[in-house]
Amino acid sequence: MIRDILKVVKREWDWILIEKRYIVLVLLGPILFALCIDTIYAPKKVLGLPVVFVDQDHSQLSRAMTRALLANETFKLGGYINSTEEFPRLVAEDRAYMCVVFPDGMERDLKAGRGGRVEVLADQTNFLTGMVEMAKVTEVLTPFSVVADARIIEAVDGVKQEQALRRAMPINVGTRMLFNSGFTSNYLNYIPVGAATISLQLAALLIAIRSGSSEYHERSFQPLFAAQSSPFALVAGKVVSYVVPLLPVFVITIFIPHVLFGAPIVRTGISFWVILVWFPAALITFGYGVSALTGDALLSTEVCALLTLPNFLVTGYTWPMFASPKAMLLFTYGMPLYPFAFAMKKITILGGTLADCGNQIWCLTGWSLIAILFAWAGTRRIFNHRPEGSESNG
Amino acid sequence: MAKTLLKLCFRETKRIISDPRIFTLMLVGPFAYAFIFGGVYWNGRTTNIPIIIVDQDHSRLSRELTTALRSSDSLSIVGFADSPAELLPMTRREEAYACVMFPLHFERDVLAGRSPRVAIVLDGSNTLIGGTALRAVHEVIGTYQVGVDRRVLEATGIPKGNVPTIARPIVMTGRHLFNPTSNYSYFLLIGLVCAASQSVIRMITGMSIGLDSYKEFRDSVKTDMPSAPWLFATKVAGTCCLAIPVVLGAAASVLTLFGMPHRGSLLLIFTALAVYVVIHICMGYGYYGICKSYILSTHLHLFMAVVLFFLSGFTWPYYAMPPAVQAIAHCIPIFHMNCIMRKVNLVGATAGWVLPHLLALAVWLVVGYAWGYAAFKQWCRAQSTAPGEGRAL
Repeated sequence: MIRDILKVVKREWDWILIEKRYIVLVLLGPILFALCIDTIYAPKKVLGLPVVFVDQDHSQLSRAMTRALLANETFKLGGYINSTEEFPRLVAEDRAYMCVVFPDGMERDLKAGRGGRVEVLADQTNFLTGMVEMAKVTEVLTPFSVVADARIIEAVDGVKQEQALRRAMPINVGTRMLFNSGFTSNYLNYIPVGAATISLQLAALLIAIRSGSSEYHERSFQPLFAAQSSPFALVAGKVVSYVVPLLPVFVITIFIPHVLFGAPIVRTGISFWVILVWFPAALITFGYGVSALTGDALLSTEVCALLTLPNFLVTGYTWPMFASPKAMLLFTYGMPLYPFAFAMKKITILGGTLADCGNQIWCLTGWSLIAILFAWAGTRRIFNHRPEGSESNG
Repeated sequence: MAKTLLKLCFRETKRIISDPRIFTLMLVGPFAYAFIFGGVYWNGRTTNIPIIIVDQDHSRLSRELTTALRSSDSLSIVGFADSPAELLPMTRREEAYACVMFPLHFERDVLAGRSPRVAIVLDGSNTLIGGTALRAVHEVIGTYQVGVDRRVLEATGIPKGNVPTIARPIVMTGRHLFNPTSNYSYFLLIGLVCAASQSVIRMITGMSIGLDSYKEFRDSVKTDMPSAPWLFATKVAGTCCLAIPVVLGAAASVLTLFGMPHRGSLLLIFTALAVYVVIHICMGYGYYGICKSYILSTHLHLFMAVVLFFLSGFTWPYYAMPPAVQAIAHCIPIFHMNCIMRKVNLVGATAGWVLPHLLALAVWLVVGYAWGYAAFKQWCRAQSTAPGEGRAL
């Protein structure tokens, strides 16, 4: 049996080396893909957002707040404008994404105990930018609230400064971020692993997409059947011949963000390797099955495109599953990327094991069964298609 | 001449319609994207994030805060735990993503004016979940903060009338412009339609030329064969006849069915989209010219689809990318198309405001057309020397 499998592997490798461009695309594709995505997220944080100020107060406090905002690395000065009406145009021209308004009489009102007011206009056309802007501006202005409170208490009641500060102290919210401590801004820590799975899924499907159809049209199984190969050995040989060159690609792609850009990988134990081998094996089997069943490389590619194009955003990796309508959950669970992306995230980022990947294991098992079914049916179809007169012992 | 050109143009359209593989991909691609993602982002924002509560204080105040957290539609309390350590396995099993902890003596510290502490432990591995949960907890606790401040000040003997004034801090009013409800689908959906259209158009163009043969092309013209530039123009126009209505239809469905606001000129958006479609048809020929196989060019487009979407700056803003990557982003058509879509639709920009992006699309139209034409000429040459080459995988 092993000899039969090795024979198929050798035959497959001889064949794929004829069309080198495919193998280069499929093997180098994921690595270049990962490099590109990781470089995009390499700065880790959204920095240097241009902010414009409408300072109608021209007070010491408004100047202090301006300085404090500009001292934060998230913001850079985009200029001073006279009115907020100018802001939409500046957004459209990419010259500003946030506008801070200090209204007339802000400091005076504050000293008179009437409560000062700062208005912040944030460009929300990009959810991410809007979120970062509001988080950072709140972070910068909150200490001003406490100090201003203390100043009022001091002025109104004549209490000592430290006592006033203590009175002005609000409930503290202590926050601890698990898994991604730089979370509010650091996207490199979690996006690259998910993004890498997109290209790896594509590579696993596409590498085998012509292996079945080519048997149907250009090559034939006959010499192998004649050499006592069983259908199981044929499918196993096909899968092994593609898993072996693809496995290093998987490893390199997953580790690129860690090695080159310092993204954390918490765990790479046995669970990691199980998923890393299981997923490509299942998808290669599926790719071969589809290819053999359709007998058409273009149609098989379209089936793969259908499975892969909408996949990442539906997996729940970025937009959480529980926030989607219930009907969409079926779609999510039905996609092959979901188990791989989530299992990789749980193991490499959350430090989990296979024991934490119950749903993912069920989904991957389901996909593996479908893949085996397709591969079996496809092999039978090719087998039945052979020219009359040729015999098989398989 | 005009009649021949029209005939060739019609032939191209007919070829695409009559090939179910190409036609289905073209029709399904952009619409499927619009509908699938319209469905996924239907709720517009993240709600009901499962959280757990660790109440070590068991006081009236901690129970009040728990009730307040329960009433927030962003959060959903799925249970009570003894320690925040229980969150870790729950997060791994996707059962809870945050833990709010009220420490022992929480209420006593509040009353004693000792600045009490509420602890939040969050799953930071997804910014959307973590960020929304954190904001929701801050929102709820922020309202209590003012009430508690007031109670503390009263307890220290400050006259009741003065207390509301004293407790009032600097108020920061945040106004989210252009997308006030922070609806995720408003900014993402239209970009996804542009990304899907880009890949699908390039793929179908590659398939269309790959499955064509110069001999059949020539046979369809009974009179004199027009020159190569005219032939290329008929192929582009024939594909445009189908691709432009499909892409405009997908964009219109996003605007109408999923309620995405459109503040700017629809004419400007649709004109830019039509130019964008022509650019990608020409680029589809260009890529086929490089790959010389429609299967290989389709595989290449599949790999490039997501990278180009990330590069377009629609999710991770382009100004946060490294300068070299920013330069690349500025050189791809989808970046400019997405900027036009976002700025015109959401900000209400006029043509003058997005002029640099419109000019970039115009430049791409010229470059793409020249590139596509060069590839087409190469195809004609290869086909005339070895007919049927295009059919080879």
